[in-house]
Amino acid sequence: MRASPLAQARATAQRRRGRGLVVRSGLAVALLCALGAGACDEGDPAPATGGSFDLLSEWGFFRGDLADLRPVSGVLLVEPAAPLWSDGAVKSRYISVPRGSHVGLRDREEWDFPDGSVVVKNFGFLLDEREPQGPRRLVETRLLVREAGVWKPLVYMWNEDQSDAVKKVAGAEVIIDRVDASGQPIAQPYLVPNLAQCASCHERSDVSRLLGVTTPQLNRTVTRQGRQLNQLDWLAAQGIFGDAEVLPESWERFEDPYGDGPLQARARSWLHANCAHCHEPGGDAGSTGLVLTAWEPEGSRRLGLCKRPAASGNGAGGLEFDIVPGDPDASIMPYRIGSTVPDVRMPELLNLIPDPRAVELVRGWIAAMEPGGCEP
Amino acid sequence: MARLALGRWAALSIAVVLVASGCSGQGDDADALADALADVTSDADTGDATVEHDTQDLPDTQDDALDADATDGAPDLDADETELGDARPPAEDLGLPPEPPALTCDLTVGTEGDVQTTVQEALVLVPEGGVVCLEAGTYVFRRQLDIAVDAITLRGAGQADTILDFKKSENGGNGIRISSDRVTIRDLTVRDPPGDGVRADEVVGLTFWRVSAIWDTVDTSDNGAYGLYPVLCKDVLIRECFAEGAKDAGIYLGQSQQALLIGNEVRGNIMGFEIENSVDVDVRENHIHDNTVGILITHLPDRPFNQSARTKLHHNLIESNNLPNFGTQVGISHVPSGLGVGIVGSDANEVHDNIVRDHGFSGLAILMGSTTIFGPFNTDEYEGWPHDNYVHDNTWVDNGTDPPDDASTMWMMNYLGLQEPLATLLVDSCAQPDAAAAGQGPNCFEEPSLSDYVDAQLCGSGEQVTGELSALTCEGTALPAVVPARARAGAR
Repeated sequence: MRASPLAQARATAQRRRGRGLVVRSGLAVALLCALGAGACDEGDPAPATGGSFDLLSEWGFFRGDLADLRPVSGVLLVEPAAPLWSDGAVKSRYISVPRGSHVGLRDREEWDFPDGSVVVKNFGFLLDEREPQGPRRLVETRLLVREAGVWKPLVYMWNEDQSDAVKKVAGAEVIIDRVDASGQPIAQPYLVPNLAQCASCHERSDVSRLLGVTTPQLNRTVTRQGRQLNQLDWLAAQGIFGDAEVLPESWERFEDPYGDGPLQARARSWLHANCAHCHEPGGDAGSTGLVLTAWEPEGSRRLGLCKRPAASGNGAGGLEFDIVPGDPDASIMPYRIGSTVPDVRMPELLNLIPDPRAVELVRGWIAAMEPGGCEP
Repeated sequence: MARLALGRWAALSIAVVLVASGCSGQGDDADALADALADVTSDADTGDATVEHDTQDLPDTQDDALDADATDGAPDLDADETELGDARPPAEDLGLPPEPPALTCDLTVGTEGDVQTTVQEALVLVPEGGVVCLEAGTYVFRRQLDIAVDAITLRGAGQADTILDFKKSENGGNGIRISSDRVTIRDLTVRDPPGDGVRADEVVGLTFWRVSAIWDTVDTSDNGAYGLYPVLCKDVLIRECFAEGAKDAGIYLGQSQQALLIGNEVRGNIMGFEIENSVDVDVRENHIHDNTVGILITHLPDRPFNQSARTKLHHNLIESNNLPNFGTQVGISHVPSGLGVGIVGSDANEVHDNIVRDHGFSGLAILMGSTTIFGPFNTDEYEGWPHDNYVHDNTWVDNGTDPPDDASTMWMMNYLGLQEPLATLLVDSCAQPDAAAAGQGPNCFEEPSLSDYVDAQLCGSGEQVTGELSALTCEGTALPAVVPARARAGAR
């Protein structure tokens, strides 16, 4: 399927003109909420807490024009420090917890969500990569729905006129016409996952779990209603943790991989977010013995230092070790992160385009290591 | 001709069971067994039109491969059949059903339309315990197929008839990837995946029955690494499968437990089989030929499952594994062309009643798992001394006679400090200094047909000597047959 950027933008503009009044009244409600004037809950029916609706709109996560992604009250924006690279998609994430229920907060992973909770992730592309605030096209929205203590995946693909998204089981390849960072028009292929693939990342030892909604990912400063504050504090203020103690100062936090933190912490944070869901014990690539969680000790062979790959496919590119300290050119890891070949590229699933900033980040991290140690 | 011969081979394991359970005549040779099999399977016909009964029906892919092979002057398989009779195990009731169970298709998919969507959709929507059937035809995929529903069966119309082609796949390294438990794949061929053919990670209960994993172009480094690839699995049955062209192992079993690999054919791979860091594995009645190495049983460092023991390798025909090593990866490039059976760092395996013949480098080598072979590793977490292996009563013909002129063989000879003449058996003579205290017994050989062996004395003087095999003769521990729950009648 294909939507020309121009037709797309036109359609959106027309829709907006037609709904001017609705948008303005929506703004008024938002303003009242922001001013602490209450009446936020009353305006919105609660979103659904389960089901497998055919349309995204049926869930009721967003009010007004669906493509504007304006959450109803109780649907909370979450912004992880280190997002997963998805071929350059711009993404937004929300959590919805049934009203009156609470999330069991943990200091690291595996927050205990009550049944009926939903995690919502929207994927879209800027029509012109040079305009970060410019128009975008939504491609898919993925849900994880908590049912009987298990996260159940659903994928919705946005229709061409961006009025709704339709449930999709088997995945799809979408071509997105857009303008890249250099100003060139491109037809970018993008892969929507099939539902059997969700477990590859979201299961560890056969237990489904969340990846971005963890303490170190969310323990960071965000802006809400024009105010800067710690994201965990903000979530606590929305009441989802009940009266649990929130200690952002003493808990781990991931660096923004492209922020101004220390190189090593930024690289480890990127590796955790993009690789550790498979490369950890019990993960899909647990058999490799490579462990890329942020909590694997620095200098560990399991982190890849002087570690030979477990399997000998094309992935290694004739190189001998996952990481040769001080020598990114001799290291398999940046080679695979930077590849576009199906059986070489890492992560293995879905991505078609390497993240150039990530390749540079990982190369820089390896280059800064003390050389040596890779011979017996 | 080749087709029929191989059909008998594939039928052999089943026929043996049938003979043992009194279902057929007491046929003594392969022909009689094959005939007996045909009789019994037609008796067992349930009338279900979707069930296949013709085990003689061989995949064209195998057939073509064999035809191509014949022009290369490879052995005539018809001639092998007679000798296979000698390698046949004693009648033994393993409780194996002769045929995959008759199943009703819950969802049936054909080649028309967008098969990437229709097949994957079926694999998602099929209920737990359900059956997805693929009609005959060639299915061309652009992406990997994923299986995440428990207890399902994916079934084609036959290895020759249902072809899953991944030559144009651009995402996901594998042909089929399995992450759920109690899964069966049967009666289909996976062709030309960019990475591995069928990969199963941490699966409990896995059956591959009459599945082929092939790369059309043999011995090229563009091929994927593994044909059939269960890793960190338990309760595994791989039966009457075929793997060709893998640039690592045709049939690989890694970090797994309780597996039976029976009646398979592997050829044209770097390793026909690789049993890596696995325990309680039965490898029997396979035809392992024309690979770089027939089978390697290894203990590798830096794996989460850090054990390798108790593979029972028996009643296989292992021949002519002299293919030049076409691997590019360090480690795999050390796998020496011309080796029948290699045991590297693995313990308490039993190798018996195989026919092992025509290997230029060695019939069987028992070597220490070393940093030179595998690269550096943490010795605190790795015990690489092979001990308590028991090799007995095999038939050895023309092994160690002419080391292939291949870089891999040269590397291994250089590492071990070897010079010609070589012999059928090769040991590096490395043992843990306090082996007895550590409860490690010797490797025992009872091979009346052999009188000597080559000892590299790698951990001693380093000087190659020819030893008398009587010095290594002792009775080791025989292993029981492994019959995983998957293999029993009624399981699927």
